[in-house]
Amino acid sequence: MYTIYPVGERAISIQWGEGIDEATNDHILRLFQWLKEKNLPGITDLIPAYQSLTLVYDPVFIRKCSATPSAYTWLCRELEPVLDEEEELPPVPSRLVEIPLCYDPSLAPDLGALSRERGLSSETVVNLHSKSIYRVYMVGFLPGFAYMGKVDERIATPRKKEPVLNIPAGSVGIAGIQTGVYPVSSPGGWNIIGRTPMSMFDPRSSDPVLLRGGDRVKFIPISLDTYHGYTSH
Amino acid sequence: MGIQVIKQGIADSLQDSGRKGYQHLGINPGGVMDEVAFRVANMLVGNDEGEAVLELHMPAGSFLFEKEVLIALSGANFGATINRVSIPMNTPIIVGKNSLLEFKKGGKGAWCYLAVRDGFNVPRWLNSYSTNLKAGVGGFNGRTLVRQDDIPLFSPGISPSIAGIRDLVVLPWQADVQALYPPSDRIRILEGHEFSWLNEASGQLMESLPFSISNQSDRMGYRLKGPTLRTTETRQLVSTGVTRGTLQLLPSGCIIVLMADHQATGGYPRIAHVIHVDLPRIAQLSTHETVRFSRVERQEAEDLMLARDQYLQQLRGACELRLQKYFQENGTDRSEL
Repeated sequence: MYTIYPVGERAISIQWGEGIDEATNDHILRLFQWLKEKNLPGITDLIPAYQSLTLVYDPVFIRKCSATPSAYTWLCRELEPVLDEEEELPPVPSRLVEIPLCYDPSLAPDLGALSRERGLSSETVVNLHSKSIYRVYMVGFLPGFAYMGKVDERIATPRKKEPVLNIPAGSVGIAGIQTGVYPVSSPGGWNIIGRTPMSMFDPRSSDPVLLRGGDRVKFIPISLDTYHGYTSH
Repeated sequence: MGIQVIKQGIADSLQDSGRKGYQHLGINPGGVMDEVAFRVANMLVGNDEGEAVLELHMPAGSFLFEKEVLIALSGANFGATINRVSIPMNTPIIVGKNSLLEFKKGGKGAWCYLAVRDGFNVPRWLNSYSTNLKAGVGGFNGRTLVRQDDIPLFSPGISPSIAGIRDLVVLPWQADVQALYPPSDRIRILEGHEFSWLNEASGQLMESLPFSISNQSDRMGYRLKGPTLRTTETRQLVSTGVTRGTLQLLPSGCIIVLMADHQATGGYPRIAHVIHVDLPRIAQLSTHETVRFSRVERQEAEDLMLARDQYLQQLRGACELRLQKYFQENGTDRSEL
């Protein structure tokens, strides 16, 4: 079951339960895809998240187009059929993306501390992190920053209390049961355990963001030499 | 040939109404801090709603016009001069070739907008001219302006010249923007989904005590100083959608108001949302200025948006007519501008 509620007078959120759950997230991404194609008038953004979908809309546009006294009520009425009917929404494409990742200590400032904290060797942490196939639940925070999960409980580590001022682009971190790649240099609080030479975000491309909600990601460990081989090209 | 930056400002950047439709990729909407001033500046020079403007923050830069163009300033009054002669706000002005625009002092307001007829000729990124400072793309080279930048203009220049040997010609009308910035310290808000998380005392404090803008405020958000607010809930929220104007409650008990460069999602309680028509007023507050919040209903917020839009449409129509008439009388065809 879902709840639907306003987020100010220009956005509406639909929320299913709480927490991080793959089936819920899959439903949200299907709905996101369906609404994107449906192209409802006045919707300017759709923001899928772990357990919610937020629609940003222009009330002036909707009220002029639809001659309705309340854009919010109109939108709720438009959404209800698809939310309530057990309508079969088409599945979301899910690509398997392999991301080369160098866990060398010179590129992994928090690998040592995380390993000690979890009572594991660095090798075990690397093995546990690279053996799983992760699901992209949502993209947010920075252009192309994919929130992926779920990491093995043995290496799940809360984000740092004090954010680091400058995390280099390509850094891969762990925050709780989530893992993610910083697409651009940024302040951040995730525990950095390696770096990828692969670009997550290319503003010059017509398709600037690599990962999408629903994708699956496998990290492939590479040596420091291989890493430098990539970056020198 | 366009506008050259002679002196660098602290945070001057090209912006428009924002980059819509990419938040699901983590690309935030950005855009101008004060949408009203942006729209007024553009309509005064006869531009489409979508043209880029230069957003200025105090201390603002100095700019040399390399050709004769029609400009307008709206928003905060920073004591603008052309070749050391004061110029009015919210008024179309023809500036002569090689005229220098400077800003002398910060007056009331935080953001000033410079519109130039036909706009700034820079590439759009994802359908928007807005500068995304975090990603380093959009606007002019993805960054704030620095000395010696030369920003190209679409305008070929005014020909035949109207200014002649004069530095500037102030056109004889002004946009009335008073109704768009009602003189009140009350900022109207709508209850957020997590408003009920506040304990009873905090819920009341929200509306009874003033908050001031802290110096930790920027295009991403304004942090407020005021009473510390407490919740009865200790649950952690999973990241979910937020919008410009969302009042998030930080773990410290402080409020942050999300502004133009906010992230698409956030994990802090959304206790309230500044209504859309009051966003320009809160955006224009400077550090240490105070606000009081009053709760209103969503229907009122929607109706106010519609009323404001109608006012702006009327203003646009009036500006267009005046400009057309002026250029007819001065022997310059609109198409030649």
